[in-house]
Amino acid sequence: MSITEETVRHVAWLARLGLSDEEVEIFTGQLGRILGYVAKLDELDTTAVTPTFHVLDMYNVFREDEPRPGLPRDEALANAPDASLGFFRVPRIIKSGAPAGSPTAEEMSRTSSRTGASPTGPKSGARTGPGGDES
Amino acid sequence: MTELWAMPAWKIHELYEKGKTSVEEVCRTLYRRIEEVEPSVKAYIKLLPEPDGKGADGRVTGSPLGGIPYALKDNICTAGIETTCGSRILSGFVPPYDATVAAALKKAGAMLLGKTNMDEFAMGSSCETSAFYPTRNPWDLRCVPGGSSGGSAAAVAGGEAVFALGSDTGGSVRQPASFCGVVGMKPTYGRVSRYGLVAFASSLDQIGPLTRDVRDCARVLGVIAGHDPRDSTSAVAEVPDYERGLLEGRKDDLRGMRIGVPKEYFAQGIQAGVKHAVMEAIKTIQELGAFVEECSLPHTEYAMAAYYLIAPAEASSNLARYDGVKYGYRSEHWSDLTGLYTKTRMEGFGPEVKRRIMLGTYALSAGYYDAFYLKAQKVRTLIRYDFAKAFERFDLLVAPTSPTVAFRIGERMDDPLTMYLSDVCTIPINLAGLPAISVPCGFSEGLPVGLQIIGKPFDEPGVLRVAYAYEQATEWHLRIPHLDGVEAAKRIARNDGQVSADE
Repeated sequence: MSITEETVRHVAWLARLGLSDEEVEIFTGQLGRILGYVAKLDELDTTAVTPTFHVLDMYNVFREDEPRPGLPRDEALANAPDASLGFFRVPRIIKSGAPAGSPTAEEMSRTSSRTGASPTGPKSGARTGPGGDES
Repeated sequence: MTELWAMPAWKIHELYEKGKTSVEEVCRTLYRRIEEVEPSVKAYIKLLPEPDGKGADGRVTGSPLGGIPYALKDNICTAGIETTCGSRILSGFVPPYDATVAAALKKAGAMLLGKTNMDEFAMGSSCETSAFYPTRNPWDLRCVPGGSSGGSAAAVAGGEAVFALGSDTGGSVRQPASFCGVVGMKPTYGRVSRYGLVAFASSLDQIGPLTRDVRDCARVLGVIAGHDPRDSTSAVAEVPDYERGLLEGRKDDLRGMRIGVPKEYFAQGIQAGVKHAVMEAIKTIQELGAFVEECSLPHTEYAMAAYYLIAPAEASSNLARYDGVKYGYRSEHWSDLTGLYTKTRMEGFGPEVKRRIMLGTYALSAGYYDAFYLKAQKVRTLIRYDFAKAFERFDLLVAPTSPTVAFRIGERMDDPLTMYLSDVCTIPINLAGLPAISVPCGFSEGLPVGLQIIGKPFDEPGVLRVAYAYEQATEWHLRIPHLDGVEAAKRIARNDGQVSADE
């Protein structure tokens, strides 16, 4: 089975996965070969077979809906690459008609790598080296 | 006398009880051993400067794992300790909570030494897809330790941890256990809580122990097994005392046991040396009194194809959460929110993870869902039926864990399909959700071979019983690799020309 580069680009878009032209080319070949292999399943007639989505005979696991403490907000935000005022901070998504005072894309871009946004420090940017965390 | 770093947990525990050694001495010995061999084995991603746990505070003798130094695969969350999943995209991620298994071991007084290397997001069979560096097999540093829990297996085999936990989605505990000559078990799906395990394929993932021997396996499983309200797929079934079951049962007598040998597991590209070792092991089990007969699991040849649709499909959905917003890596090259997602994922994921996200997204996408994903789930039913039918006649099944011994680093990296075939003997068991163990059963070309014992759902006691009887009748589990730090480093230096440190 073969698939086209166009299909690979479409699937990458569905997965919000950026691919280089080289990766598109490699994946077009590799995914074609893997799909060719899995086409083996067509040898089996499964019209009367029910699918197995889960191996345990377990349905509708209920619990009492009782309030309990959740993760504190500062802990939930501690790992964010960029957080501000108790929120995850992302680039502007409203193109026009935004209230005055909203940060522009340029402002967001400038502040996205600032330090001190989270207790553990900024996570943006590449690692310094593969063994950088070994202590 | 055996060195402390080469002893199983139950033996160290006995020495503690007799006052013949201390937690400090055991930890010191382990750290010295790590210092010696870790530069060549590279089992750990993160080594803690001092062990994390309360085992040293005098409560040691009360708990079977009190004061025992161990390691966790780096996809198991540890509060306050970085958990990377072997991926750049989770670099710097410090979990705010412990996985249920990590909390259970902490409560039992075990001492965490560090987090072990793994294939990125547990996708791989060799530890080579790690974003950091490949781990090397302590039996031959030119070879892979297997994967994805290769760091955990190498740490135990190399004497760098008394035991370790791994995770097994398609063989990721058993295959590296086999390659490294240690014991590795994948429990029944639902036996051990997955809370705090970074999700790969949720209907297949299961955490399991890697240990020096079967008794330790039973001991560790007893601590980590059980229902967890925070994992709704964890089973409510009672946890038996696995270790006591072993010690009280007859070790030298398997009379009354009916054991099937599925012929399909000996057909698919199995190495002669592996086949020989496994057949010899089966002979031993027969001599112990078990009734052994060949059987058939006719849909075995379709398991790989079904797995490589189901696992990537679930992974593509599970890995959608890595978007550069909530935790981990964020690209600096974006102009809008969508660009932030695509660039972060492009730069943060390695090639194997991208490949599987692509495959899974394709299999789930409009127009292909019925032909691929649904079809695979139906074939999964046929594979389950195969096992159910075999278990009408047999109590357990035995087979090789892997068709080959450990292969050379770099050998299979160019061809994903060949790499995927490493798991041909372990994948069907995950699809059916069954418990299975790999125990050392000999050597081929100087490298360890693993015997796989497969049981009915929740029959971990039966699996352990046969594994223990076999182990007691043989001495393979007592062999340790001659890993001399200095020699090893020299060999590495010689090989570095041919073996690149990273992909």
